Amino acid sequence: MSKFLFGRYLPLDSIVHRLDPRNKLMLSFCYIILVFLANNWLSYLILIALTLGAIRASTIRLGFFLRGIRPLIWLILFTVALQLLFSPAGGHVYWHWAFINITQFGVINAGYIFIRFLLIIMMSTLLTLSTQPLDIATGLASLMKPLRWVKVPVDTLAMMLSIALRFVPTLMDEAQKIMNAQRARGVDFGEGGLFKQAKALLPLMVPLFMSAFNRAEDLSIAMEARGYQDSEHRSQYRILTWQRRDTVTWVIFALGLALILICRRW
Amino acid sequence: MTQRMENIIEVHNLAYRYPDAEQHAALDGVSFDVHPGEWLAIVGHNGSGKSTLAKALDGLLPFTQGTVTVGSIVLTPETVWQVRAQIGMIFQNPDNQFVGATVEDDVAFGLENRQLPRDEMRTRVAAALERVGMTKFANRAPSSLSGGQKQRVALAGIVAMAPKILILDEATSMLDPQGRQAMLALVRELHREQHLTVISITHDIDEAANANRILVIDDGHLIEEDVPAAIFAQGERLMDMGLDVPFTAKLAAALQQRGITPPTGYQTTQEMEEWLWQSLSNTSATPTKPTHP
Amino acid sequence: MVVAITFEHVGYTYQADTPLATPALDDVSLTVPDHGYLAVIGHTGSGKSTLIQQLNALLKPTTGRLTVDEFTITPTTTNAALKPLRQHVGMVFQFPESQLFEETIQKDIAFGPQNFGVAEADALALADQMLTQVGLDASYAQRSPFELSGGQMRRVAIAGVLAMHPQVLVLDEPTAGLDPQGRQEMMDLFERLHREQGLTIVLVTHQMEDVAQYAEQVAVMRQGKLVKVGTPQEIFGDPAWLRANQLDVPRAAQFAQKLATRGVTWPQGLPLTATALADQLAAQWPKGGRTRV
Repeated sequence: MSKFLFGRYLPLDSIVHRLDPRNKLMLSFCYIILVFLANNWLSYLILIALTLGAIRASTIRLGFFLRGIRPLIWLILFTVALQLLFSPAGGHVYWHWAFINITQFGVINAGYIFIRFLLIIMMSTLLTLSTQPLDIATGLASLMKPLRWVKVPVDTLAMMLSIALRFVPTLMDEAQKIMNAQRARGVDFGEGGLFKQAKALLPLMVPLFMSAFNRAEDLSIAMEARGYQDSEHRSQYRILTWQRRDTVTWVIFALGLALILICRRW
Repeated sequence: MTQRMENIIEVHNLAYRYPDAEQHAALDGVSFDVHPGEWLAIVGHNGSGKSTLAKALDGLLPFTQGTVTVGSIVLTPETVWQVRAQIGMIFQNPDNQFVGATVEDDVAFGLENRQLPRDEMRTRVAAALERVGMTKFANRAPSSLSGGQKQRVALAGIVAMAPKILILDEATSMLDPQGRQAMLALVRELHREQHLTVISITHDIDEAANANRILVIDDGHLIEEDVPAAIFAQGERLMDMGLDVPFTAKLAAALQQRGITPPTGYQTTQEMEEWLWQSLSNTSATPTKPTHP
Repeated sequence: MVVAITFEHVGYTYQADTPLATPALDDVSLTVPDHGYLAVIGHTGSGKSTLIQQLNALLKPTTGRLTVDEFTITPTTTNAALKPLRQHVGMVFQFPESQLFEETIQKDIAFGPQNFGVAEADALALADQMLTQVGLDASYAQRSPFELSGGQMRRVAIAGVLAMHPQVLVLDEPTAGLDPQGRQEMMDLFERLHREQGLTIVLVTHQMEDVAQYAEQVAVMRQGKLVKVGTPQEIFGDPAWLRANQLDVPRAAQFAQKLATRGVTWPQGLPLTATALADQLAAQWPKGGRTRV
């Protein structure tokens, strides 16, 4: 079951895997800006080259990325269609009906939108495939540290996120067990009409919530027994270290940015 | 009260009533002492109040009456963290006390709470994992471990903190026999090596047999306090105390029904074996002595 | 001999046809007679759980075929054909209390029968009847299951399974986490159902004492394979093999073996329980050593 959510991490040992998660988060964010800076075919080609290069460096097969796109395919197609049908007039008009124009600009914009989607999904898929959820959480918490100055409980949020991630497989296991027990009592999950299906969820959700609450109570007692008072007054065992390879990625990024800025001029 | 030696824990007239329970108290007038380096077992059937007692010792329940003194510190809301620093607790469900996302993170959890510097944490985590034989699992997520392995990680978390007292709150009851034996062997070693005071709340007769002393809790009251041999001699009554009847006692009872009178009192398996062998070979002249197979 | 359950070369692979395929059962062939009592033993992860989940087709074999009374399950059997089987084979999973969800105990017990087409009024009447069968007072019917103690909740869950009137009862470590008294009462309940109502019982357990006392047939699993089947006598009669497979030997058998090394013989086979041991000892007890009772 875990393959739907967090099982997406692929434990390989590539340079991308070893990058500092903070760096990967920042790179992913800046990459999105880069994608929106691109405005012509040449700049998109540079982006595609950068993306494929990153994927190559991760040693993850391309197939995994295409699978990452699948759940979003309808959203992409819908946006592309909107762009195609309703973009402002400009260039050659290929087809016209009532308020719908398919224009040269529309086609080009739709193409760009499609590529943008693809690139952003691929890069964020690369982030999740090459970084453990826990490291993403640690990285996020570390990046949010400045928010402490405005009284955001960053460490508590990080602790909550880390515990939530740790209990996902446990609760999934539990859900599977409860489903089995209820199927053995004659429940058909995922069969019949919508009402029947919704009703079948009750014998799953009630015990699952009960179990989650019991676990939470046990866990809070265990944490207290181990001296946990609050998340702000703790030292950190898991720390992130910025390596030379992290710096190198920004040199590559700067190069990409420069090239794209030059392309924009044309 | 004469002080044979400084007690590491003193419990006096302890009472606790769950907020939502109108009926009787979960603990009522419980008093006892624990000596340093002792192994004390607390037994009683499910719902007798023994787990409540364990939690009260660690300040995890606000008891309504009485005093608890741990290592000469009287437990109050102000001193609770000093008290907890002296006690390591392992609970029943291996899953529900695993805080860290990986084994080493979990072992480090208590150290982080104590704000230890990172270098020291690394040394202590490594040593603790080595001690419980989980070094090669350091990076594993809890979902890939067995119940027994998770409890060993919990034990590593305590070894890393080096408290004076270890409380096992039915810590082996959800494990399979292999996991249980491995865990008990480990606790026995730690008890011996580190002069650790062990309090084990248990139904397991083997675990109780390790103890120097057994307390029996029933319905929130401390009803008996004695050495294992004296407690085990009570035969069928042990079931009411939340313990199993030892095998030798079952055998003795079965023999009695068949007109054979075994020696009175609790017999270890070796004593029983020796006595049976003597009787069967009809050499009643030789006195009973322990055998070393 | 009327056969209740037949495994014919049953194999099962998790996530078959994917790169993550993991074989969990490998060529298992086994028959259980009608009204039989089978114990399945083996380590955690040996395939016991996968094996019993075949019995009501929560998992369907990926190879081979399985027959349970009039039902036949092959890799191609449709789910629709399997629903009556779910009623025929009652499953009590590990910690079954976690399946309770209704507002009242009565409604929860009646849930299973209603899913199999029993009218609400009849199902509720059935629930009251089952409540007493598992040893709970009828006054519990209208209470919430979540108010009960763990042991009582487990009884309610078992009542919910029994209410479906299964012919085969599958029990996955039904006594885990209970105190010795609770364990004993639980095992007595199943023994009564087996004796009085002729239920075929399949018990997965780590408790060798229970295997010795109740089972008529024992299956030993290891790494997805059925490595040995036989009567408890046959299985426990080879302690060297059991130890090599890291499986426990019942206390009485261990004890009897120690006596055997001293020269005591067991003409009626190795005794597996305290009573069987006492019987054999009494038979060879020297004259004059017994008092009449």
